[in-house]
Amino acid sequence: MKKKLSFSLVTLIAGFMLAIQFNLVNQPVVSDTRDMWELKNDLLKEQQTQAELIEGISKLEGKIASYETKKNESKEEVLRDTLTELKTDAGLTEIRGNGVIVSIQPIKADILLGEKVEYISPVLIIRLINEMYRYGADEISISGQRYISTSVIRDINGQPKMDGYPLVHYPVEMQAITVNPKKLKQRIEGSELMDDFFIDNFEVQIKVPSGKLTLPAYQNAINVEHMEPIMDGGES
Amino acid sequence: MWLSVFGLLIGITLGFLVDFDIPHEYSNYLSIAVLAAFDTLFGGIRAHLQNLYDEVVFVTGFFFNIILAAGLAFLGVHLGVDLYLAAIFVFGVRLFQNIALIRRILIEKWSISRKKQKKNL
Repeated sequence: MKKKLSFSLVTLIAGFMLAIQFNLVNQPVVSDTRDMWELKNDLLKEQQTQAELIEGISKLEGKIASYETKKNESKEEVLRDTLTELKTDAGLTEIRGNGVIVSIQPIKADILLGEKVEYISPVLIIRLINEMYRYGADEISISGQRYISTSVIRDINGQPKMDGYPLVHYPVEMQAITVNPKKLKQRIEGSELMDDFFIDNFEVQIKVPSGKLTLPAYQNAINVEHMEPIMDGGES
Repeated sequence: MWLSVFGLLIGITLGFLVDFDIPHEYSNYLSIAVLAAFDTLFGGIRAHLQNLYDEVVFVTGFFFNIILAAGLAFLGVHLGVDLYLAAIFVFGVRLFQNIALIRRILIEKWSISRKKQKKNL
């Protein structure tokens, strides 16, 4: 009995498939019996649909265009932002902020005694700058000249010079912008550098001005020697 | 015997009554599946007449052949080779063989029963 049942089930499925296939192959061809007016009406309907579709397409295309322009603008904006950011980082922009003023001058007692005033050693200035950076200074300028990562301080013809500007007029004033000026002042005052300056007959005074400091932009051109721009995109 | 014929008829009527439509692209697969189904069906009838019928073999063969045939056709479409022709050929040949065997067996049975009737007379 069970045998017969399964066999019947299979025949049922086969019959079903056969009927569907038969239906599929013998789909009647619907002949077109519309007259002229009906055809015209249908054509009109289709034309309306077409007009609606074209309208929709133009709307969507307008949207796409607006998105594209927005995208391009935002790209430009991002590039501009990045450029400004990089310029700020490189020290090519004026910068304002809270900070400290470090002034270095010869010890007055020595001048009174008639001793010859020597120039500040470039090594000392570099060490002071490094210490200040270590203690949290963000940007530094010396005697109105911005100190940047490619700046050089060295002895030229017996005079200490930074990027070619002599640091011989006293007091040599260094301005540093930092988030926490008081802390920077305390840490510089507490460092051993003060003693080194004293050995060279200089005294260092550190003030925290009440207002904001303005550091000038770096004025020279920055020479990039070992980097080249990639011209055609590259592979990111 | 009659139950299976009845099932076939029910299946056909159901197929005609139900408005079940298959996309035209798949009509090839369905035709091959139908062929496979009939091949298995006649194979089953022959096996029954030869007393070799095994239900498991029959049912699994039915579904497996259908799926295999459709799969072969599908592969053929994607390879650009008319593989469904192979299926049609194989199933067609087997169909004819099975039907011929069924005919012979039936004739044999009929002739035996006629001889018996003659003897009885």
